[in-house]
Amino acid sequence: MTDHLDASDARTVERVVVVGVDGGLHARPAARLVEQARAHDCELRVRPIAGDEPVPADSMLAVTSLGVGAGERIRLLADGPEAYAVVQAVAATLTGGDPE
Amino acid sequence: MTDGTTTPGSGLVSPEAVALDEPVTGRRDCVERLVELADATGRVDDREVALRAVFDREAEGPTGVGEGVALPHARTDAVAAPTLAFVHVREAVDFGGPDDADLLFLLLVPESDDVHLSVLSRLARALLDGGVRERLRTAETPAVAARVLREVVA
Repeated sequence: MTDHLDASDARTVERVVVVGVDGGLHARPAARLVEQARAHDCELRVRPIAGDEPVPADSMLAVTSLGVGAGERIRLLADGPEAYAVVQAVAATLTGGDPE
Repeated sequence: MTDGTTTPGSGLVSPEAVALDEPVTGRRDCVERLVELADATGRVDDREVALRAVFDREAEGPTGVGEGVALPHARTDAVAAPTLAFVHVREAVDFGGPDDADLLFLLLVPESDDVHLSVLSRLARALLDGGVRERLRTAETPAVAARVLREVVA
């Protein structure tokens, strides 16, 4: 958790989250992530900690290609006016804190 | 595992589980067609159970993932081994994704199997490549399409 990132006006935000939702980054949480990425004014990318290139979070095909399972860590990379907001929202979804 | 017939990709995809230029329309009918093709491999013990598992998963969230691709899938003990079916439909179908899908894949994996996410992610990674999608759209025979799939998910 890197919650020291409270500069809510930052244009570039990075945060590592542990995927806590059942079944990993899959089905409903993945769809919600894509939806949140599209709803915010910024570019959000996701990268598995193990390496690989980051992929755009607004593409379900790209998110599915990550194959992130429950308990794995991923890095969120946001760039744009709503970078902080999107990272907060997506982190809540992926850790299981988002009731939707 | 030097024998080509025992690599994961070759067991997973066989030409019997591929149909091209299908006139089928509508999400429900497409899923039924995919399950029928998976069944043609002889690896589905109970087609009804498999179908129900896929529909249950469909109800959880869209499997249309963009770029004309849909990836319906389920973990179910109605299959003895991981099985992939592929249909290229003549007219793209709404699978709840950002666009309608004409490249439809069905992945069925036994409950106890943990390859589910990894096969799905390998397939998705391959399909991010427009060249792979094009090869599947223009494949002239199920054998050709099955070969492309074996190449990318093996």
